[in-house]
Amino acid sequence: MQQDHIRNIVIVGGGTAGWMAAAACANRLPTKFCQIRLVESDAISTVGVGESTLPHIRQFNETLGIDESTFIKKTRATVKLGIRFNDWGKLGQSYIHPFGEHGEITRGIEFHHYWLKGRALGQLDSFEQHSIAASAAQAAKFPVSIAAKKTTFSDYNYSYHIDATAYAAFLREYAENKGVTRIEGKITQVQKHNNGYIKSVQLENGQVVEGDIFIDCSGFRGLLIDKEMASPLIDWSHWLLTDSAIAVPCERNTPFKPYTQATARPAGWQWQIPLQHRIGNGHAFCSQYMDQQHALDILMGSLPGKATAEAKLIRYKAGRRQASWVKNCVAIGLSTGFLEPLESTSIYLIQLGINKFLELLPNRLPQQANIDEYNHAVNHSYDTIRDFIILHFHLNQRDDSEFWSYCRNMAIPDSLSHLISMFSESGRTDIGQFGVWPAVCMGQNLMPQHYDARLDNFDQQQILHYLAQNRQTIQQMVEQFPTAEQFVAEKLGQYDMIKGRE
Amino acid sequence: MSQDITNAAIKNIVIIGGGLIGWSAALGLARGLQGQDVSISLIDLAQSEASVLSISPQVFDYHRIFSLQEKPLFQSGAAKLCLARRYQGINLSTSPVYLAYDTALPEFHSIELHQVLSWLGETNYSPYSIPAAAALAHKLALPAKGQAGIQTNFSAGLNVHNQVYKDYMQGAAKQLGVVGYGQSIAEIKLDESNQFVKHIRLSDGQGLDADLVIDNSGSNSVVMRQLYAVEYHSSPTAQIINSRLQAQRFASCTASPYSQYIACEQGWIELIKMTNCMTGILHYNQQTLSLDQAQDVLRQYLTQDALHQHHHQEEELHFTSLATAPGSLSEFFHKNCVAIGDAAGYVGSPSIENIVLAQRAITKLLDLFPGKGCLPANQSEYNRRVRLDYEQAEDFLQLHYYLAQTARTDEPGTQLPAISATLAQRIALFASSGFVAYELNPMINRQSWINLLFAGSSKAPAYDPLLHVLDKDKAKGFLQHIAQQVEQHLNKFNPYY
Repeated sequence: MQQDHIRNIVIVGGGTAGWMAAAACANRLPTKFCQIRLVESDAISTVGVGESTLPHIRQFNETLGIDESTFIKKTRATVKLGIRFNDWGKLGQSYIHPFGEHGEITRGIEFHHYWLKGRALGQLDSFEQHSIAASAAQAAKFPVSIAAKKTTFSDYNYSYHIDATAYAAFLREYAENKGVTRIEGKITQVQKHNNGYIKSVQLENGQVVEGDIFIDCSGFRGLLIDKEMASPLIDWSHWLLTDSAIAVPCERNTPFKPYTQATARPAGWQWQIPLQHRIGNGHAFCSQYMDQQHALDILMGSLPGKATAEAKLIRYKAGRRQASWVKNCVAIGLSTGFLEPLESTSIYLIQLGINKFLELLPNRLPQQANIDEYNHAVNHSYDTIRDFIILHFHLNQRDDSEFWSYCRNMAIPDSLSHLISMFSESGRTDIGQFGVWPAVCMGQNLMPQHYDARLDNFDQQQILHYLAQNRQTIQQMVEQFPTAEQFVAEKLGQYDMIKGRE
Repeated sequence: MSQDITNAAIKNIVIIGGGLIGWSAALGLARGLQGQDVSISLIDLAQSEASVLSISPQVFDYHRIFSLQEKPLFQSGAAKLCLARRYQGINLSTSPVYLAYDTALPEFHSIELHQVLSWLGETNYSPYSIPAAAALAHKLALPAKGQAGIQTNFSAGLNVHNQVYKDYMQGAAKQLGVVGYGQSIAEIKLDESNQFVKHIRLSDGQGLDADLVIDNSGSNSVVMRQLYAVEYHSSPTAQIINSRLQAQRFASCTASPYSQYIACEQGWIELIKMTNCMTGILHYNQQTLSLDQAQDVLRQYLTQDALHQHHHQEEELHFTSLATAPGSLSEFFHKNCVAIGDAAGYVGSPSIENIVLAQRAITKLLDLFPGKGCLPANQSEYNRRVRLDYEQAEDFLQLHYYLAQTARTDEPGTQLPAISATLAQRIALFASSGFVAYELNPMINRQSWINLLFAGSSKAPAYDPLLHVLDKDKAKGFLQHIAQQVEQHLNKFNPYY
C-alpha cells in the first residue's frame, strides 16, 4: 500500500510566485485531495517581478483555463514579440532578440548560415529582416496569423508585458474561487519535527498553520529555505555584476511598441516595458561601479514620459540555491534564486518550479528520488539561463567604462565557453539551448568564423535569390499585419462583449 | 567566393566497411548531401553482422528523414513490422510479458495508464495497448493515431533479414551515386601537417582521395584504433557479457509479430521468427560457459518451440560465434575520421541495435556537418551528442540485466550488476512515483522506459497520489472500456503471417 498522500499544502508569501503556485495547485489538485492555504501579510510589500514575460505564460494561462482577452484586460497587458537590445555590442548599435527563429532549416542547414554566406557574397540585408517577429516588432505590427497557425517558413511566437501585481491579484481571485484559503499575517516562528521537517508556521497573532509541505514564496528573504532549511545560496555575482535596481513607472504618450527595451548603461542596463496604462522603467546597475544617485539620474533623465510614482530601490545578488527543494520545503520564485530580468525569465522560472512540483507531487513521507529529480531539473534550467544572460554581458565591445571591460574579460562558466566557441567557430547552436543564439551573438557582433562549408557547394545565385525571396515574403506579410495596438484593442473589445453578454 | 580555405567544403568521403551499417551510412550521406557534387566511396570489407535483426521503430525515422520508399523493402517478405518484444525472466512472473512500441497510451483524468494500473494492483498492461494485444493475438496492427476511439498511438519496429535490408540500403545508395569497392586496403596515407587521412590506396593500385573518412571497419577499427589509437572504454556490461552465439533453424514456422527476449541463467537469448526461419542469439560470458554449453543452451531454445515437435529428425544447426566487447570509443570523431558501428562501440543486445545508434550518428553528423578543417568545437559537440546516445543505450541495456538479476535475487549468490548513477536515479524515481522524466529526442523513447520499468517492477511501483481522490470503480470501468475497444479493434487487422 502506498504511503498516505499530502493533505495540506501551505504557501508562504503571496507575490507573483505565491499566487501563481496557489492557482496552479488549486487547478490541478481537487479540494478533497488536499487543502491549500497561502499565508501573506499586507504589511510586506512584494517585488512584483516579471512585467516582461516569455511565451510560456500562454501555456500556463491555457492550462488554468484563463481566457486571453480577460487576461489582457485584467493585467493591462500589451503584446511582446521580443526584446530590443540597445548599445550592448557597441554604443549606437541595437538588435532584436525575437521569439522564434529566423527563416527555416533548408537542406539540413540552419538559416543563419545562408545569411552569413550571403553576407560573404556582399549581400547587405540585416539578419533581422529575415525574422517575422523582429520585422513586425520594428514596425509595431502584430502577426495575427500566429494565433491561428504557424507559417511554414518561420517559426514565431509571442508573449505579453503585464502588470505583475495585477496578475497576482487576478490569480488570487482565481485561486480563492477554487478553494484556496488566504491567511493574513506575518510569520514569526517556525516549528519543526524531530527529523527537521517543517511542522508549522506561527503568525504574529499566535495562529499556528500546520502543513505537510511548505512552498516558500517569501522572496529574497527565503524565510524557510534559507532561514530554516539552510540551503546555501550559490553566489554568481562575479559573473552577473548588477546588484541594485531602481524602478519607476511613467506615462505612456505614444503607441506602445510590441517589445521590451533593454538599453546598456555604463554600469548596467535600463529596461522599458510598455503596458496599457503606463511604461515600466528600471535601471539595474552594479553598485561597485556606480553610485545610487548617478544611477537614478540616468534613469530619470531618460524616461519616455512623466514619472507617475516614486522611484523604488531594490537590492539583490545573483545566484541560486544549491537545492530549492529540501525535506518538505520547496522554494519557488526569488527564494530559489535571482537572475536579473534581462531575458524576462522570472515568471518562466516560477512556472517551471510549479510544473515540476506538480509533476513530482510527493507523498507525505520523504521520497528522495522525487526531490533529487526536481532539484536536478530546476538547477539545470537556472544554470542554462544564467549562461545565456552572462553571454549578453560578456559579448560587448564597449570601451567606455570599467564595468564593460570587466565583463568582456571575466572568466565565464565552462558550459558557456563551449557554447560560445561552438558558435564563434562554426555557427553551431545546441537544440537544448535557451534563447535564439544567432540573434544575440550576431546582434552583438560575434560573427561565426565559418559558415556551414556545404554552402560553398551550392550555386551562389540560388542562395542570393533564396535570401531575397525570404526577405520579400516577410516584408509583404508585415505590411498586411494590423498594428499591435489594434490587436490589443480588439482583445479588449472581445472582453467587453463577453462581459456584456454575462 | 568561399570562406577560409582551411575549412573548404568536403568533396570526397570514404566509408571503410560495408554491411548494413556501412551502406545505411552511405545512403544517409548521399541523400543528405545530394546535389552538392560530393563523391562517396565505400570500401566493402567482410562484416560480421547478425543474419536477422529486430530493430526498434527509430529505424523508420531514418527512412523518413531521407525519404526512402519502403515498398520494395516489404515486398520481398523478408522484412516485417514488429509490434512488440516478448520478455521472459525480467520479473517474478513465469508467464511472458509483451512490451509494445507504444508512444502514447490512454490516460485517466490526465493520469498515465501505468499509474492507474499500479493503483488498481494490475501488473499486465497489454490488454490496453493495441500493438501489445495485436502481438499476442498474432494480428498485424498498423500504426495510426487515436485508433479504436481511444487516445493511443504506437509505432512499429522492423524484423528483417540483414542481407535484404543491406541490399535495400545499398541499392538506394548506389542509385545516388555511391561507388562500392571490393578490394582491400593497401595503404592509408596521412597528411603530414595535421595527421588527417588524405588518401587510401587499394590492393589493385587504385587510389581514393579522402576529405572525410567514415570508419566502419569493426571493433579493431583500421583508422580509429590502429592508426589513431583512440581509446576504447569498456562498459560495466563487459563484466557480464563477452560473447555472442548465433544459430538459425530453417524449418516450417510462421513469422511472429514480436521478437523474444529471454533472461536465463546463462545469459540472454533473442529469438526472432521469420517465415520458415528461426534465428536465435545467445549473449553470454565465455568465462562461465563453454562454447559447447552455449550451443546446447541455444539449441534447446531453438527446438523447444511447439511447431517443431513433430520434426522428429534432429536438424543440424549452423552456429556462428563472436567475441564481443561492450564499450565505446572515447571520441567518435577524431581528426577527419568518424567511427560508426562496431568501430564506435558495442552496446550489446538485447534491444539496443547498433544500427539505430549508427543511423542516429549519421543524422547528427549531417546536423553538424564539417568542412575540410574538421574544426574542434564542432567536433567536440558531435562527440558530446553521440556520447549521450551511447550512455542512454547502455543504461537501457543495463536495466535489462538489472531487472533479470533482481527477479532472481532469491537464488543464492545472485549479485546485482553495477549501474550508472543516471539509471539508478531513473529506477528510484519510478519506484517512488511511477514517473519517467521527459527528454528531447532521446535514444530510448520515454514509453519504452515506462513499459520496461513497469513490467520489471518486483514490487508495485508508486503512483500519482492524485488517484487517491478518484473513484476506483470508475477507473476499473475506464480500463474495461479500453480493453473492450482494443479487443474489438483487433478484428479490423489481418492475421500476421
